[in-house]
Amino acid sequence: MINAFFSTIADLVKASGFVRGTWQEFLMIGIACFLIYLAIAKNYEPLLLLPISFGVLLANLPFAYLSSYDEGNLINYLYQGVKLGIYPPLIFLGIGAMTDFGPLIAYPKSLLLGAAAQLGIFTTFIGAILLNYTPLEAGAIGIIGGADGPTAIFVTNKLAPHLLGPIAIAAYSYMALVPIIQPPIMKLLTTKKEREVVMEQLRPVSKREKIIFPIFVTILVSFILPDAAPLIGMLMLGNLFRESGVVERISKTAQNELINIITIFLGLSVGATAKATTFLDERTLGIIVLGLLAFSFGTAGGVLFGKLMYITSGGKVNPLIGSAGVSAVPMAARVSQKVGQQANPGNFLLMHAMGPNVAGVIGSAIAAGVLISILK
Amino acid sequence: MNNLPLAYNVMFVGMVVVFLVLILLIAAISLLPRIFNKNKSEIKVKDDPDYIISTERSVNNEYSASDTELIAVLTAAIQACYRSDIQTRIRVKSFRRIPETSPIWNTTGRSEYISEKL
Repeated sequence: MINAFFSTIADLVKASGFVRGTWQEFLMIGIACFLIYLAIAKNYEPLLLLPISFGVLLANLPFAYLSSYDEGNLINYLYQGVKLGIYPPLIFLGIGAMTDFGPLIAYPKSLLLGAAAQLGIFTTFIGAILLNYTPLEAGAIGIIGGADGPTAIFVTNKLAPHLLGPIAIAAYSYMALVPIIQPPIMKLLTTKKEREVVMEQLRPVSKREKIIFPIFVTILVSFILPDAAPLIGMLMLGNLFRESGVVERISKTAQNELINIITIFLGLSVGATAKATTFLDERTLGIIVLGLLAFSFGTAGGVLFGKLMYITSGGKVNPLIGSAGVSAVPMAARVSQKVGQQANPGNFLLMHAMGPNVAGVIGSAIAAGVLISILK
Repeated sequence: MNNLPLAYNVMFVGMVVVFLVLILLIAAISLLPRIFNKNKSEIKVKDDPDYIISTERSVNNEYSASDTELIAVLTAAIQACYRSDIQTRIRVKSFRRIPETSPIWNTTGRSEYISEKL
């Protein structure tokens, strides 16, 4: 009786994850716990990082079969929204409903900063090619430089779906780390005098302009780049909900319940793609390094173009707002504000940085459309 | 390495297209206020040698307690704006309340900064 008892216990122990789990799975669980710590203790973009990191944890539990690729479990069903490209445009719908394009309309030249900051995407594309990634994989890796999670997922899904896990994790992790990555680059490329520039107050934007803007942008961008239409179209639809003022209930749903639900589904299922067997290889390491380069080049591109605008405007533009062109709304704009205030405590750059910041969202969607149309 | 010419091509075409589309947007957005905004600026500030700021004031001529505080704030703001010393004579003769037009990020940023300083 006692022997049978111990034998059963021994079998249970042998069958447990503690014994049968591989070192790779334990390592991934450790990484997941570290990311959970960053999300909770350090408050690094917890809305995204918490579901993603818990997804990583679930996917690597030995013999639990909870990864996005294990058919029949809940996460696999949720993953279909990623696989079929449903979630990124819906996230964009919510972002559009939350975004005020007023600063961009008030100072349209800030769109140029949103364009310049896309430099990171294309330089990283070259870097990935040099590291022997295929053009499709390089396109998916480069889009990390757009600093836009949904866009990165959308493009990766079309170009290199097998890299979805590492790319999504790199994109969202670096977005969370924007306050750490950007300031040294911004300070390196600007002088104190440039950082101290106080910009003129933006003009008020009429309601009519704000209503016309999303309709116009949808038509113009989609006519030129049909591949960018799913993202731009939904972004602008969400914004039209907000600005029209006639569908307040829908607007509130898009910017609260809908985007929250999709964020849970997206974060969990993207995190659960990071299974040890596919995640832990040298190519993932390459993606992580290239992703960091993409963010850095994007920030540098925006700041350098900001310097150009500083010179051409006779010192009226603070180059720090250029770094906000990498998207990552609104963290990148907050970083511009913070670095600007370190140089001049009475300076309020936030509103001026929101222009390039939302321009970056449009710019990265356009860059995504370019990559898809050329490479696919 | 064989794909390097393609990579340069993608980079060149990509940056050109992104800039081109956004420049088109700039041109279009710049036209919007000309088409839709016919209202002139509502606030007219006039300065004379004595730095007397004059704007329209609403009907009531008597200052309430809160108005007095507001005038003090306005006076200080004007003084700061003109970077004038304390000897300079500034008198706010009138003011007019206008609807809140600052976008939410602006007001949030200001209130966060002020609360940090308090």
